[in-house]
Amino acid sequence: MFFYYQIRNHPHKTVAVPEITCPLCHTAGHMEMNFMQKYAWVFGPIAPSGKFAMAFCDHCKNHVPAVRWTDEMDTVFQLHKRELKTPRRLYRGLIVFPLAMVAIVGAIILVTKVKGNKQQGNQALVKEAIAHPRKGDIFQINQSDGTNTNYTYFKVASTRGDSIYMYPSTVHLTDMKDMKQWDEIPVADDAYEKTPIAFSIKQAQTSDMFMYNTQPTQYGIVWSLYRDGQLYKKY
Amino acid sequence: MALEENKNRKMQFGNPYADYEYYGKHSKRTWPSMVVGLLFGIGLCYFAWYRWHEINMAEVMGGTVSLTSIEWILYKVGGKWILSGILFLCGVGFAYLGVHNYRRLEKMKVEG
Ligand SMILES: [Zn+2]
Repeated sequence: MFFYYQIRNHPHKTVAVPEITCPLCHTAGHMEMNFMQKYAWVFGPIAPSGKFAMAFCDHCKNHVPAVRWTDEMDTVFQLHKRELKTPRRLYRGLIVFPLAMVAIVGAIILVTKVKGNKQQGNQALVKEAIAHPRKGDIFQINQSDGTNTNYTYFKVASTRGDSIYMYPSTVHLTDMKDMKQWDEIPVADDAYEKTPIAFSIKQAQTSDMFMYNTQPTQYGIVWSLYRDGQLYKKY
Repeated sequence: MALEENKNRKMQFGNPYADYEYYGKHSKRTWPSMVVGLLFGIGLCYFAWYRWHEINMAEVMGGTVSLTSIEWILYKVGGKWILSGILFLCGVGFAYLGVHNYRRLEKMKVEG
């Protein structure tokens, strides 16, 4: 995984330390120490590391290499370093990151749950609609004879006893690419055949699909219900 | 001001001031970078030999070795010698860099 980060320097303070003799040009009175602290930056400050200093001699215009620091310089360095406090904001990432993680995970769980609840509600509604169909209800049907599958619709014409009479649609989508189109439910009567086909409600209730009384066996799996201008998807 | 470069707080690629940052007495040591370089370099050389040996055994006796995709490309191009050779050179490179850095710092220490 790639993620972008930077190492930045937080400037603490610059102090003149004229009492120090420069280890490079051996002149006193021109030394200053610049105190800083590194921290990582990922969308914000996170994980500060140790405090350090750079020494500069204004006489010979040189930075003193760390390996050339004298004990005298170390003493002064430790003295000043003790006063430095890591700013709170440099720790911000340590709080923000876990919080952001929790928020993201929480949001995902919530969305899945809401979606799951909605599906459960829809499944109950479709079940109810199969048991007690209303004239004009449209079922989204995944129709198959075992080898060939197409996506179509059944529109409820009437019921009598265990029989439900439905007009099969003349629209037959064969490609999964057309799934979006499948969800655009055709309402007009000219998208359906003129003669209804009878199915058994009881059979549909037990198997969740409408069985044709034909050979070879043909069936239509109920995918969703379209009622009063609303599409209730089971999945 | 002399330190004005440091006002540019974004130093992403390398750190031109690494030699001048003083964290404490341990910053005066010159050998840690050499030790790290040598350990890493020798480790890589050992891995190169180990890999060569493993692949050789698989070639002679028959058997399988799982290779990472980069290793697989190298093996396809030039066989086990190129694969191990490149690993070995990397190891030598790291060891050299460690020693080089040590000598550079030592020089810096004595220069007037
Ligand atoms: Zn000087």
